[in-house]
Amino acid sequence: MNALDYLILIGTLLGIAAYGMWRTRGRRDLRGYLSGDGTAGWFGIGLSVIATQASATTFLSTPGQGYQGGLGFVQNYFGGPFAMILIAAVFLPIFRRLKVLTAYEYLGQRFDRKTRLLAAGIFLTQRGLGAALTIYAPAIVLSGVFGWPLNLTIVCTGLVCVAYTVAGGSDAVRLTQQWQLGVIFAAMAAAFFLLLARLPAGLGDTFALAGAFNKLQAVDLSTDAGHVLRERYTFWSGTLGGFFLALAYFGTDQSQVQRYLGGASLRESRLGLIFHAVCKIPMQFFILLLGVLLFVFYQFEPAPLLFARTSQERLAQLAPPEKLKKVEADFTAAQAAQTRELQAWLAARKSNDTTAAQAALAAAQAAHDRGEAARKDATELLKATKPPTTASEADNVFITFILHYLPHGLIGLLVAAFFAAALNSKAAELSALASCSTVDFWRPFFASGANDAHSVLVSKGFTVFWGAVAIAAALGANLVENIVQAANIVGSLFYGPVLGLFLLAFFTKRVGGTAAFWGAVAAQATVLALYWAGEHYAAWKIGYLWFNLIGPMLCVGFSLLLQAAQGFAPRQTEEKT
Amino acid sequence: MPSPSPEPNDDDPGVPLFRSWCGVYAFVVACFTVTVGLLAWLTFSSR
Repeated sequence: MNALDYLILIGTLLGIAAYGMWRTRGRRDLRGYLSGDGTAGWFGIGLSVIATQASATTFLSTPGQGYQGGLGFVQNYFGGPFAMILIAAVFLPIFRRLKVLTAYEYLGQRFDRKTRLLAAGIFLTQRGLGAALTIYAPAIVLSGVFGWPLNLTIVCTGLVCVAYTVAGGSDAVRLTQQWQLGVIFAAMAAAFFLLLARLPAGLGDTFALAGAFNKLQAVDLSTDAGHVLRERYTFWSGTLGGFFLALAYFGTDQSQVQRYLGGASLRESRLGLIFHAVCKIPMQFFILLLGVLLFVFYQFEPAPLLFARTSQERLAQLAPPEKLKKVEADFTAAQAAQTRELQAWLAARKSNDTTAAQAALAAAQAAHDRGEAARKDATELLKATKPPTTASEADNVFITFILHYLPHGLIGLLVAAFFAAALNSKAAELSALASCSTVDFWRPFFASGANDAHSVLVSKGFTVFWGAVAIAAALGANLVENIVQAANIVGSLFYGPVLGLFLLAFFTKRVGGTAAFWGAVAAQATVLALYWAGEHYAAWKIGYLWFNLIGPMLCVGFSLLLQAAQGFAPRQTEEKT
Repeated sequence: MPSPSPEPNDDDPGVPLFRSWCGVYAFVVACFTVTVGLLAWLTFSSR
């Protein structure tokens, strides 16, 4: 990055943050601070919902998923549109009619205080963990590539975010998200078209090559039960598990509920959700396709042995020189052979020589496998040096391409886009964590009669508190999974039982608070036990998306059983909040 | 405790082009079907 890139990076981020703070200056009432001033239109809500979900990991790590595993990850989002329909039709009208500030306030009205606190507590726990991840994820990639100190990157990102979330509340988050998303889409589109322009093969050849390397397997319709249960992404797990994941995330996670509760009317909020339902899968497809195109690009262009700069430097300094030299020689030879064979493949396709094309492609694939084996050896050498935390190789692919092949100015804009995405989702999370802490815990227990100005002040205090917790947790984090997957796994483990509570609240009339509470506790314990068993015993392994289905089913089942044991008496009227 | 129901609030004038919200939801399902159909075509044509 040169001076122009830094100027664009800092100017973009500070400009957007200042805009959010200026537009929402002087806000004093609690509802306005936590939910917005109730003037948001559908487009703003839709963008805000997309921006809250799409953290930096979406734009940094998802192309890496495409590069490594192809388009299959898009199935993760197949259940989303159906979840959005259910939320728009059922959840949203109820939330709006009851004028709740947090989704868990509704559980307090429908069941009792302990059930509300349980759901709010699970949200604070899992979102607190997730909040650390949204700072940590981009910081580790960007610090790895640029050589910035990791801890300094985490602290600076966290502080900027806390500053404008504290200053402006929910509306500042929404207003800045729109501009940030504009920067992100502009930068990603520019990167996409520049990559297309730099591809050495035509579009038909590019797709043929991607297909030959199994990168275009977007839909897995296999009906083999074992395969469907264990494979991470299939049409069935993506549609069913993804439906429950999206239902839980958009319908019960305060960071999302807060985004659409601020709509000017029910219609605007609903259309915002519909906008997301229609746009999300195509958006994820194009981001994954970017990764697939990167894969093809690096089959023709020289790729580094390891993508992360810090990993390369560490390898050069600490790995045994003889072993490293051999790995590098193997890798270079494999790459040269692969490029040579692929040029022969292109020439054979041009002259319609099918036999020669097949032979060249098979030789290129063999060379590719030798190159990947050399990369694996390099990773083993790196592991032997006991490195501090590094992001997975795939997470570094896109940013490495940006730095080596895109013009200055655009590099600054793209790095600004990654930070903007990190700030987007981080700010929404902090705002939601502060809302939940204030409305569900602090006000009922410590200040039921407090005025709005005082509550806003407390909410700002909680924003700072959760910002500090997230920064501290990010400083101590250690990840081995692909980042975007790690975020989804954490969500899948905790969302199910909370979603079960909401489903009980919406669709049953005679289950009381005590049965719902203990049903949710038992369901959460069972989900965690199943995940632990899967991690330790292969026979118990279940694709994580299925936990989004198992969790609510267990919660609903346990609660109904408990209520049946008590007898389906009239609805409980114990301690309501 | 108000009884939960999926009935919309009175601040919902509907969406032009669609007769009701059911039409909007049918539109979403149609978009999903077309998108997944295209992805399935891409999958099977690349094998």
